[in-house]
Amino acid sequence: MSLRLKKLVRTREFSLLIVLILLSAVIQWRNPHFLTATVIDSILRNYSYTILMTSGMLMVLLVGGIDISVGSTLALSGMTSALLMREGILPNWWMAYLTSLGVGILCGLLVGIVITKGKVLPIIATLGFMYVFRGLTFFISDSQWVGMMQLLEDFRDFSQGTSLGVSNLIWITIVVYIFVFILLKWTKLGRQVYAVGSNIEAATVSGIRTDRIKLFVYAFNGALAGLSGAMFVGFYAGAQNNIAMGLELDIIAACVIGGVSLKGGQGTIPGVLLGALTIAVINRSLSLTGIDPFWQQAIKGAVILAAVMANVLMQRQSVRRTLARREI
Amino acid sequence: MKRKIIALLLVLVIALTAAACGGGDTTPAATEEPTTEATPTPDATATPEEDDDPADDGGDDDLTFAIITKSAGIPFMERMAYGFENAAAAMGFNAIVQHPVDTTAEAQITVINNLVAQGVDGIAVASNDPYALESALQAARDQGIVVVTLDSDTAGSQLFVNQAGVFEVAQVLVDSVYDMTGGAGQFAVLSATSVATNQNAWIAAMEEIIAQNDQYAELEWLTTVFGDDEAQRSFDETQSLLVNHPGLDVIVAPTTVGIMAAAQVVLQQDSDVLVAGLGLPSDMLGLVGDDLPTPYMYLWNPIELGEVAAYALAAFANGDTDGSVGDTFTSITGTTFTIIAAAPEVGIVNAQIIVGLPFRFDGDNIEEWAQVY
Repeated sequence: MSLRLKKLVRTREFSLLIVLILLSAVIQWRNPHFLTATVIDSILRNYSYTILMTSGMLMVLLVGGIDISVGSTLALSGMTSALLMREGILPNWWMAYLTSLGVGILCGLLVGIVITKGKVLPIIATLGFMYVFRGLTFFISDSQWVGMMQLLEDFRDFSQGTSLGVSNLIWITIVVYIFVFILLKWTKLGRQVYAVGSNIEAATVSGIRTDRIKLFVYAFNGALAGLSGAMFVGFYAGAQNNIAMGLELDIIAACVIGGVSLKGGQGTIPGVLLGALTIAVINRSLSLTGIDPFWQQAIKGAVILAAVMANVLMQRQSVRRTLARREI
Repeated sequence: MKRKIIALLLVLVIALTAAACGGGDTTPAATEEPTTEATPTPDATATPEEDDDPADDGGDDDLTFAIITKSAGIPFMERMAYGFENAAAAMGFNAIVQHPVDTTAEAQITVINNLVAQGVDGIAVASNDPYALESALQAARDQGIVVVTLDSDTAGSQLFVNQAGVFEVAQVLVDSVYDMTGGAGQFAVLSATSVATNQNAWIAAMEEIIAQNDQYAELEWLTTVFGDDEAQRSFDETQSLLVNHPGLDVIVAPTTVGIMAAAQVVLQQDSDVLVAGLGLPSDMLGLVGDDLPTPYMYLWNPIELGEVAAYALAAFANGDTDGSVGDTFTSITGTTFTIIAAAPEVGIVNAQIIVGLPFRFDGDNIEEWAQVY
């Protein structure tokens, strides 16, 4: 059983990889600059936090939840450390990153508590928090922006810098992905996350404290959004109140493209990585291929739909083949 | 126990929400008899002497003027509102500042309707749309409310308070390109959204200036892209410009978010491309100066823009002008403004007054101005 399941999962990612390759080929055909080290590096840098946050959203979706407050969490946590840097309270870059991380965890915990203890539907609870966190961002910053020179220099240097030729932001993303991959695949906690999302009654009966698992998942998702807040502010060298508005939709789209089920229990780290890369490539290609700006949004939506459908169709094909083989 | 936790959480949420609104702008509905009690807005810091004896005030003091910005959270708009409040206070009027929740015409229409219901005497609005506000503004004028636009114009207003003439702005932008390319070279424009009224007006005027002047014949306008005034989008667009056009010399960004993102990309990639445009000094500190991506840039003083809008409302309310072209009025600071004709070809549909010329920021004065706004 587990072998067959593994095989199925593998084909799912494989079909997604083909979609991504096809998409890249089309863009490469339209613009020969696309597959160059500079462009690929800039895509990974600009979208490092989008890719990072997709792994958090994966875990939320796995337990059957959803979180549309992550864009606001990013803004609030990024603005918090930016303001503290402006006031000279934070001494160095890693304190700033930790501050944002801490604010993100608090936001995630708050969301998780309202969902588990307050029994509020995740989409409604996080819709509320989307506005609450955004409003708080305006409030704490007094509607002002934080400029480049008001941020610590070593904070900007770290966020914009590289280690071993690779952007520090990409390193953070790689480390988090390896962590989540191991967590989901080989730890008890990770298997419990899948169990809660697959069948919550069975999970409860088998002694899993489902509320605790959910709380952990939302807090973890908030932590990644908080971390992204520091990455965003450092990389773009400035904090505005309206940053990352609508980012949650890109992240959820990345998960869906990556084969995550919105009903819970289904989805993998390699899948969402490919999904997030697809979203990053789509976003970036809009400007690279010189598509008329009036058409860009419609085309983005159409490509997302096409990617999901192509993935589903190819996957169905391979399932059918597997089933046919079994009957022989 | 569980109930207590839930109740506590609810209280917390409400408290947070209230806190978030506290920085906002809602005022208690203005009374129909403003004489009995001026309604101090929670954040109207510019009118601290609300309780002054009304006896020694003139008749005009009971007038209430409102300013509607494009949206909350834009420093330029905040400074503009600040200037408006200050000028109103200096003239002895009440001021209401309203920031719509987002940069849409719908959000502004809601605010306008509320102000009409409150019975204010004048409204100054920085429009989010060239046409959509017309009926709401007309309804306000039918109630005898004076309506002027500032920052970006819209149909339905009586006068447009123009921060700087469209052609003057376009001229300094074209001259920046001319200067930074050394008279010949390739440039691209990084704008805000594709429907932004003022950006489109400046771009249209730039086209006209370049087309009509042989001096600019050697300038090659490669493309115009839109960063939607978002950091990530503007980054993407700038990087794509650099990749797609290896011969690019200058990027012109007539928007504060765009110029910041473009200069940031150029700085991070150590590119030779120069960035010109309109930027906010406090955000551009560290990016403007010799050997930096932006040698110099332009903007106007948002505080002054807000002040002049208040003077214009006062001039209408006092009967100094009815908005006809050729009329003049003088502010309490002694500056005389002359009303000139509309310029529909660049998006100015109303008669207008021009506040001043764009102001140049470079390495010598950027630090000083970064303290101001």
